[in-house]
Amino acid sequence: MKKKLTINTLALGNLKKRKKQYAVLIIGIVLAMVFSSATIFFISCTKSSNEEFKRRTMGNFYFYLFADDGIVDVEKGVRDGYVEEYGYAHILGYAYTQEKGVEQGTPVAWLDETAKELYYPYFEEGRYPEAKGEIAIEKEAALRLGINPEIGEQITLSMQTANSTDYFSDCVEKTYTIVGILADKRKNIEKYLNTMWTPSFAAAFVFEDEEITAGGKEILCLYLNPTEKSLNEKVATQTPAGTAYSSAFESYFVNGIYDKIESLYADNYNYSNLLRDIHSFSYDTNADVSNSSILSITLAVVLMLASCIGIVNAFSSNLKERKKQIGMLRAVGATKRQIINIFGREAFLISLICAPVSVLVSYFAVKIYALLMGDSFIFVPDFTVLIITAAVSVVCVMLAALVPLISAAKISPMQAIRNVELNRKMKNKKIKTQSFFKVPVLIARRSMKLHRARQIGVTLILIITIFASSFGLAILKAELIDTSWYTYYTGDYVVRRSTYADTSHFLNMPNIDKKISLNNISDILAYPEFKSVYGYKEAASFIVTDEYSDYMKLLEFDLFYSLRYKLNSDLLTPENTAAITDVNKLFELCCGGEHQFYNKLKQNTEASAQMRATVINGYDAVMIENCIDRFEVIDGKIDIDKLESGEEILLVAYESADFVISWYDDGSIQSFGIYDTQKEKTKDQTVVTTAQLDIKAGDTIKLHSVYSDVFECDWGTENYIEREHLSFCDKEVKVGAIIKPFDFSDSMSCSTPMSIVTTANGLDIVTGQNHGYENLNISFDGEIDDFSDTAATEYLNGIFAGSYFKSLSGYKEIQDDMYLARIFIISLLSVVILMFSICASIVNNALTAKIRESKKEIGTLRAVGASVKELTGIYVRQLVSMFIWGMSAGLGGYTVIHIILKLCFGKSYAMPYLIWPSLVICILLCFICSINLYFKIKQEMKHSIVENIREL
Amino acid sequence: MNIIECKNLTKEYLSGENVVKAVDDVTVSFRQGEFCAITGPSGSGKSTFLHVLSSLENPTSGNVYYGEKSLSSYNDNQLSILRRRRFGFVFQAYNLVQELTGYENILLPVMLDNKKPDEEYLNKVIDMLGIRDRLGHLPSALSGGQQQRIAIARALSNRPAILFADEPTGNLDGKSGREVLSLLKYVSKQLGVTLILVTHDLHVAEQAERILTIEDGKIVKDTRPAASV
Repeated sequence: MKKKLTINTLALGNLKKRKKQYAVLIIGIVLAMVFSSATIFFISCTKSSNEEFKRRTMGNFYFYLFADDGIVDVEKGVRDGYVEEYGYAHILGYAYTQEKGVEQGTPVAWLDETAKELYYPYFEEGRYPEAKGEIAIEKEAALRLGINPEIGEQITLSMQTANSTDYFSDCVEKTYTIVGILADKRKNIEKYLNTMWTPSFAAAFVFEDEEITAGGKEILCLYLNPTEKSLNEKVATQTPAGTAYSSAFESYFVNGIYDKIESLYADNYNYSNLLRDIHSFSYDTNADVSNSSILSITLAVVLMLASCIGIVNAFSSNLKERKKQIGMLRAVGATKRQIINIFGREAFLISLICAPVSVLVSYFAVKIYALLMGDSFIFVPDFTVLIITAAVSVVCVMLAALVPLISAAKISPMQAIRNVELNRKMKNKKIKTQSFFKVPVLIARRSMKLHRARQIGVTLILIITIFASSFGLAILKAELIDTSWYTYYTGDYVVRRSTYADTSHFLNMPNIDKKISLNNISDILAYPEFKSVYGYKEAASFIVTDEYSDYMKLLEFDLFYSLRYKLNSDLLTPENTAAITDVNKLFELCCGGEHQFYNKLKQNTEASAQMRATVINGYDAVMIENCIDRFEVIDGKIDIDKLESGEEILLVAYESADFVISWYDDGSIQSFGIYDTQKEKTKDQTVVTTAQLDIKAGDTIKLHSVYSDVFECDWGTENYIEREHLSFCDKEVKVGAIIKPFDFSDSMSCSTPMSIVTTANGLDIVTGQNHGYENLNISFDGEIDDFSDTAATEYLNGIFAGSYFKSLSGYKEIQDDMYLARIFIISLLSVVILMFSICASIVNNALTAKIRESKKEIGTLRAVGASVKELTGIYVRQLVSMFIWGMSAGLGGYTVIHIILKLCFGKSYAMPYLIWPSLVICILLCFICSINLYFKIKQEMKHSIVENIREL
Repeated sequence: MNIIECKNLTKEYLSGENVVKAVDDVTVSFRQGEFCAITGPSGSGKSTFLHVLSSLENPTSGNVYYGEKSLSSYNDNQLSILRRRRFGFVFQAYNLVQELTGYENILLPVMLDNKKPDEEYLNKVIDMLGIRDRLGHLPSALSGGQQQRIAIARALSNRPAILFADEPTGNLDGKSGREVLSLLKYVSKQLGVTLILVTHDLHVAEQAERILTIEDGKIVKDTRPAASV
């Protein structure tokens, strides 16, 4: 039975008859599509991997509040549109083991259904408890308890029962069977908190029917997610420092709760710290994700365009081969529309084959990558992205096929059969007959000249690959080669503040503001592998003077306070600034000439003369000794012995200081500050007035240090501390040397003029009291490894558990950084290699198609005596030309963008200029493609000349 | 004196599962300067015989001798050099390189040989073929007859010893065909080139000094028409 001849059968017939050609065409299209779809899928997976990673390591909540004992009216938050969802962890008690001690414990809780979703338990092994007596525990929490968790194991814990906001000090024994081992969350959340207050975050979970020990009351901990709207909506708030912008959620909901907590628990700052830090972490991550989305979309569009060019190219080659067929169809009466129909359907059939294949290849490429990356890349395929990519791919193929198709359909039958196009091109391009030539050179050159459009696609893909890879490899170099792995910590281990203590700029409050004690230092030094401990202290004091000098007025607190408070007023404008000729006028304009704060403070502190607040920075003598050559001494000499004895201090100041304002275009103040007169100012900075330092090395200054036994709050308003809470210490010291503000970021810094620097002992002497340390730098004796680091960290945690301080490991920081860098490097390298491989395949494919298309020409040339060398020469020259164009344009573009970025961002654009790896890869690829071409020609020459000629 | 000869030349093809003998144990020799037409019905194997004889295809068995030397002893490179220096080819479909102009096509064998073109000789050939005004055009701008003349000039450009022509008039109309044939005959005679021409047209064959008739891959007749003598 005869089949009915339709456009579909014609299109299918073409596909069936030209299997080989179509196989090459399909491979070309698949490669071009993989070029974009694999990258898009990879980006989407990286995004979902990051999100999943965040969920697994930090939970799926935005906001956490310990002991929500009726503090939050969540229902009102829901009604007002601030809260999307919330759930509670019901803490039954605080569990620890006698062996490891109470500091290494964890709260034990059960989660309601929403809290489960928000906490997002991720089980490394096992499941969530389903019966009484079962427990699921975070791995790190178990290890801290001294338990190496195994499913089915029974553990006995000492448990302090919860009392609704805290725990009773007595404990009861509880026995649980481990049914689940959870991925760590508490450990990760702690990193972002300024607290090590472990009793607040549950890391062990029991079944909801588990009862609290008699007499206790569950602590309710709130997990919450805000609404998208309240998070995105920005609200302006007036603060003493000017207008601040925050999200509606933060402004209304968080700050509201924060104020309430502050008033309820003024003596326990851990609550508020927990709440704030988790919040800010979530915000940053979301911002990162949204930034990377914009980048991803841009990259996707560029790659899609490049793929389309590749596909146009593949189809053009295919249609070129079939020009005669089109001519014949046109000759027998096929209309343009019918031609487009036949070949369009063919393109559609091809896209239906190519789209799923390329999507599958992309899927497995990313999956293999995820397998290779192990835990650091969580493979969470977004099938919507896959489907969209497939659909977009089909559309791209159709659109890309349409471009050559329309131009093919336009040609007349005779044009198609006789190829007059070449002749026309020749006339247009003014080709001159050569009377002496090298055959491969001339044919290659002529071929490129006459078929330039065909090479543009391939060259463009090369350009994009080289351009992108140059940037990628430069980033790689910056991350891998130029990075010396060092820690920002100044010692192998450092001890820092873990909470924002209530400190004052003017008062010392030793009873309230707890610091690191000498006992702590003795404990640290008792650890055999700690070699030395150095630290830093600070104290508030006043420099007392008979009369305010211009220099002091310039650095005056009142001036800054007034300006900050009136930042958006028209107190200072570019116009009235011009009228300011000296410091007194500035002072008059900004503060009405009154030293409000000092006047009031003077009354309370019994200071008889004028004074200016300062901070005394006390470093252990050895630290100053190590940096002695780095200080810029303006006057005098640094004598450490005299600093140690309290006889001298170092005054930090500029010899001459400028009061500088940076303006916005609309005339409002962007920023203001004190700058060294010697420092060059930028265009938008105006020097309002200048003052000279009137203190010399060798001068004696009076220091007035004030101590308070209560917290000084609301400074700047009318509420000042009562006289009976204050005590004073007055000392006279000599200025040993005047040094410029400094920032040795690896050890010590002081950027404020009129600050004082001395040794830690000197500080105690000049302020009349022994002060605790603000931070410590600890040196380890010998090489640190994982094992010694864990032991040392655990030891330090033991010392500072429950205090306002926490220890940090430089070794761990470097390890973490290196690990992240390694992941980044592998990802980037994979993308670069993938791009180059696909690019090489596309180039290769294009040339293979060309060889196939030119079989007759190859046969002819063989017949007239061309050897494999000459034939290979023709194609290699074209290949090299494409690479040279691609490399020149790609590297040229990269160079131009690099220069522009350098000019725009100056030193802050620290990316190295790196072209040779891309160059080497390109040359290598070109060489490989040339070898491949040679073998392709050899292969072709295995056929007889007659077969070559007859092929078409 | 024989310039080229073949002994027991056989060429087999696979057609589906069947082996087809396109050339079947042919032994024949050609004299220098001779004009020989190979004729026979379609599918008789005459073109295949020409292809194997001219080294465009390898024989299944038997040997082709150019002078004293068997072509089977030549490697790929040597065969290429032989083709560019000693053989000239004219195909039915002209087979010009589309990206090169007429003159550049003519120069191909000379340039492949890295020689300086012999302008005087080339001018003579070009004038004999009457294509001077078409030299700067691409093949696509030329008529069939003009393209075939360019192909003949190309085949003669390196002063070959033998000119192989496979149905050179097959694609041309009667008048052009006759013109091209007379030119081939004239030029080869003038230049002392052996012309071995495949045709199924008896009128064309009749103009040769010698006619080989092939049927089923075998030479069934080897005649020398009186007119030519």
